[in-house]
Amino acid sequence: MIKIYWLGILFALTQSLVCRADSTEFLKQYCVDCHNGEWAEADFRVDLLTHDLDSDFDAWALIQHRIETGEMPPSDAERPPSKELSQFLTALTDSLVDVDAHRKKEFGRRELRRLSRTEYSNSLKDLLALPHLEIEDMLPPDGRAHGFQKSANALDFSHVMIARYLEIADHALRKALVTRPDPIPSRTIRAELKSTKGVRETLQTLAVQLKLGHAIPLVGKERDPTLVRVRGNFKKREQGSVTDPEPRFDGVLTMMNDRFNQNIVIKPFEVPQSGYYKIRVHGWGAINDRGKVVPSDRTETVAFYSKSGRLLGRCDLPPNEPTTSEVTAWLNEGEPVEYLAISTEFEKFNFPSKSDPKYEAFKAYGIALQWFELEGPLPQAWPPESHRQLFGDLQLKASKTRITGSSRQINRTDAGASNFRVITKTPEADADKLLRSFAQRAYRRPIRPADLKVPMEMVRQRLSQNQTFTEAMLAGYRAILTSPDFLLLLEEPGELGSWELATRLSCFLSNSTPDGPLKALARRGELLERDVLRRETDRLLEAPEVQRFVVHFLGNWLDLRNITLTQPDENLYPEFNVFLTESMVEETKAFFTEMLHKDLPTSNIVDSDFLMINQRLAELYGLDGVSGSEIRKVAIDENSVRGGLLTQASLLKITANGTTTSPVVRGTFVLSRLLGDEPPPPPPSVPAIEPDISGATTIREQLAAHRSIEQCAGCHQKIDPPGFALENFDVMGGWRDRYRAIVKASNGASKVIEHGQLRRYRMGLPVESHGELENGQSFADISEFRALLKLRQRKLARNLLEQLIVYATGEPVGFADRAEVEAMMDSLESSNYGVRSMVHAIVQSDLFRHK
Amino acid sequence: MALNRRTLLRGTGIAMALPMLDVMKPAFARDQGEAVPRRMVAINVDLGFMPEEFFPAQAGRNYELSAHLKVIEEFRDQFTVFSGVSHPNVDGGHQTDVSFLTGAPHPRSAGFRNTISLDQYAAQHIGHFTRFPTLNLRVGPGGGSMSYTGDGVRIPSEERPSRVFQRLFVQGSKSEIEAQIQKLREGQSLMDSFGGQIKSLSRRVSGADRDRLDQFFQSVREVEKRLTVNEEWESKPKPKVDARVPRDMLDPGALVQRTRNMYELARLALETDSTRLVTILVTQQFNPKVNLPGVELPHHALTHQSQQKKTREQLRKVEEAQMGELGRLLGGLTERREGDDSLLDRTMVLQGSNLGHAGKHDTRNLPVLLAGGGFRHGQHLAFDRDRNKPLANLYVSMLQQLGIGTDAFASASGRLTGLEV
Repeated sequence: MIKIYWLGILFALTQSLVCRADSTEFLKQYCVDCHNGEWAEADFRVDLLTHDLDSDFDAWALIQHRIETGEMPPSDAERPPSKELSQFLTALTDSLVDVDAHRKKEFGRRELRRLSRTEYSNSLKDLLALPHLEIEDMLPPDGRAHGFQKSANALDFSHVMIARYLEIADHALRKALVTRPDPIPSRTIRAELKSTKGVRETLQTLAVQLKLGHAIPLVGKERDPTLVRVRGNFKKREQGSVTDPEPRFDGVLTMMNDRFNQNIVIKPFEVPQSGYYKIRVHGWGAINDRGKVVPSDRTETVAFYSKSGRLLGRCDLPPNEPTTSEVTAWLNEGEPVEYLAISTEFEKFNFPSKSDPKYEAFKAYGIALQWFELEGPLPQAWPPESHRQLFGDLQLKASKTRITGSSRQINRTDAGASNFRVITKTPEADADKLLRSFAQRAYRRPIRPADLKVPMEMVRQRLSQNQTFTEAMLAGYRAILTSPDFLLLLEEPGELGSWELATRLSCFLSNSTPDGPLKALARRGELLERDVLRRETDRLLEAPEVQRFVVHFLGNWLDLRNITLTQPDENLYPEFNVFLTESMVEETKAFFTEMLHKDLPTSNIVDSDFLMINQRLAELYGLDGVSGSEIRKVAIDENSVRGGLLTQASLLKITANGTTTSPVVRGTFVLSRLLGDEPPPPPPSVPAIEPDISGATTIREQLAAHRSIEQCAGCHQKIDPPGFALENFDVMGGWRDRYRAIVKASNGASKVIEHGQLRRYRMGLPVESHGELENGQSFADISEFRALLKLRQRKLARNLLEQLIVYATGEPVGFADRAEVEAMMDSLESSNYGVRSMVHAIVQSDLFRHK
Repeated sequence: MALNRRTLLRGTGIAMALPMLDVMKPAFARDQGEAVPRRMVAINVDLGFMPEEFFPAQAGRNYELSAHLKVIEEFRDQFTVFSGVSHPNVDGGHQTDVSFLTGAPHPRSAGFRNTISLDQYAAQHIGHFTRFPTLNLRVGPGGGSMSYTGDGVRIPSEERPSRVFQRLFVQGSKSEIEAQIQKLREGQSLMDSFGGQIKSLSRRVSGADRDRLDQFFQSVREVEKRLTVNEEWESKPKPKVDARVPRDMLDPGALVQRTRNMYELARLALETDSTRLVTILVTQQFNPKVNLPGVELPHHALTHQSQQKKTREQLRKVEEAQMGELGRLLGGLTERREGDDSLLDRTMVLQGSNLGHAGKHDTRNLPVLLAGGGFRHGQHLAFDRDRNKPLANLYVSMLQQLGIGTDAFASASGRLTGLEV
């Protein structure tokens, strides 16, 4: 029915297209020669095109785009007179706008979709008050459409997905339950690195390092002269030993940041109950100078991780002064705590030296460690918030019989509910009350009586089988957390109601279900008032949860999520370590957050007068006076090569492959991600260009040859220059004047020791970073290139705005949206396209406030 | 690389002494009066192989083994190598991996919609014989998968051996199983009521929204069906294997070890008849350097420098190691007996790539070989290099061998001529 009506409109529109601009004649004259038949250029056939804009919308849109950007008709073909061209273009654009607008009016801009896996897992975290629940990886990854996981096309349904929801809901709910009726009192566990026994019982990696002669035993601040090491022999099955006559050592100087067989768990630490804990370490920074312990000049850092890789926190230890440093972190019950001396330089156990002990062969920064401490669980309300979300204040009683939960699919610790029972005299009435309150928080709309029908059935069924109240309630909660109303984002065409608007806003800025205050405003309908909406936007932007938006947005826009997919080559970049990767991601997040909070102009993408860095990044960037692992704002010189997202280590690393950099990859990145000007993909069956690591030719020479091929020249004139400008930055974002080239061990590797390792590279050909943009503007280096980019502020801003629109609404800017987006751009000009202003402009726009 | 049978047995963390297959064979399959069980493993090595190293120079039965095929020389009579095959109209460089088992045209075009993959098609016919209709595995990071539903929705693949092992072999206690069965029943009844809810929602929306809800509805129905089948399986014991859960090795450079671990798991799954259809995507697109002596450049980068002698050597090492792992898998399957046959006789092992020449992003002339499965092997079936045979013709032959009587699949024009039983 609807379809027929729809076709009617289209018919009228396409008719008018033909009348207004005699489009057929235009296409016949200027397009069809090349674009027809089996051998059509670019496989694009104008001869098959119909005037039915419903079915051929994308093709017409492509024609519009190619003509608008001047790419078509090509310069070597017959060009239409400009008047004819603009007439055709205007008519075509108007028609496309009309059709798009009608379509959007009828169906809305975006399609119905489900929660993304990030939104789903954040929603569960928020609903269950479990901020550190780890469930995202249990769902299959979402696809990407228009660059993000925010639209229907990226968020498919499959039976695997639905089945997984059932498992995950159960897993998460069990994590919310207390495991015992009373809280465990806090206690402090100290693990000392005193003598061989202490080390063995505390940290396996340090015991191994001592035995192999990589770490130095300390008495106070001096090297312990008495340690006796007998190295084992694997072939003869001899174990080896370490004995420690008086004076016994009371600390260890380690230079190693490797995870070495994962033996980095602090063994005495026990986490009897989920909660907040304090982790402490006592030590200081020192230098190993070929076996002599000498004073250091920099702060070192110890990091703690969960077994699943969650960073719990970092402790800075200043040079030479024994110091106790602590972090407070959430730990899940039974979770081991891992340690890494992340700031140190030396990574390898297979140090290529005959020296014994090994530390006599090199000089490196190290960390002297004496003890670790774990205090907790820190006092918390009991039962904890997560439990009360599910069982309110119902009394708990220890149970004698252990009932095993149905947990084996996920994790045995799921069976937590077995140690106690929830006491209720009126199970049905309590169930109704609890389910109602939970559904009110879970659903993004007012509760209807029918909503409780299925969950209550689940509860009753279990109760009738004499199952515990706890198990029965979990079944009810599962029914809520897997229901279509929870999973789907339902919107009706036209202007959004207050609940739908609340959901859009929270999915945008918190990547989750609306929180309490937002729901209250939705319930009262006040959210529809512009100033209330604005206030709420500000509130969410200030909330810590805005980091979920920052992480997700940057993860996709700039591919930040892929940062660990490649590692800099250990021979070419011995100074690289995990700490650097962590720091560069934190830098970019902090930088964007700063732009967001302070409403900084978009031009900060390419240039800024400050950096957000820590000591490790300051070392990489060659800046002094920044000490410690915490990211902070640092002003920089006007003529610094840094500043802006463009030259941050994270972007430079993501656009490299670990061994080499390619101007093609980096140029494409700058064009498509920063300028919104994606170059077309390379034609099939053309060999790609890869840098030559033997150091014989530079990539610039190879590309020059490539550009001499006519087929390649067109695009590469545009792609290569931004990449050239970034040539001075290596694969991890460090500055280089020359390329590094690998030295073969066989032809006399250098004996230079750098960063505690033998240097295995030599300096190769010099870097050239000059270039010429497509429009003829030339630049000598990154600074001049940056100045040229800054002139394109509106283009940068337009791209960022469009990326944010896709993220916020799930749909790219279409023909019908153009006018509004242009108006937004104009209104943003006065703030120099401030990022926070952009967010406000989007939230207030019709794009955002309509389906 | 010579294959030593002892090392095959000892293998990795998941090699193990297994109970006899015949004992293992679930009563289930036999109950249904089924003929000889037929199985399939489909592997896509997404960076492919250098054509000059992979394809033999001569066609027919007396062809001389190419450099790569020499690695699996001992199975010469157990495989057929194909040249001149590809999926018509499947273009778009690396992104064609999604079409490898589906043959869906133009995967990079704007309105692309995938179609059903070979394994899922086969599962509709033989999936119910086993606990898992299919097993979809992946070596390498990312969200890629070879497997797609009839609606073209990607079925996620599993990268972690520990999780696969858990699902295949870790048996719950009696009370856990009971609780699980209850949960499955509950799931069925939930799905049933959700199905109703979605239908009524569907009446309120229009256009693409309705299609979307329909996809949701189909998925819910599918889960309901599967839960019913699972309930039957749940009360039957999982196969016992004498091994610990394998460690997940996620070092991106450990391509060889990770491939080996996954192939072993695939073999175990087939051997215990936990599934008869396995897909394994070996994805190296994200460009790690492979931990092999003498290999200095990232894998992906190497494929673009195969014209240079030095880098070519490195790439050869990587590819031969990959062929070596295929050899290990074939060896493992040969050693296991089932009835009068070896497991390989009843298992088709397809190894191919969505790229014919990774360096050129060429999607024609794919390097494909098929081992085992009861065909008359030992030949090089050479088709026209300029006018390729549809790869889907081979898929039709494979489907028929699985006992599925069809002449059509994707772009197939019939079964592949020259490949006989």
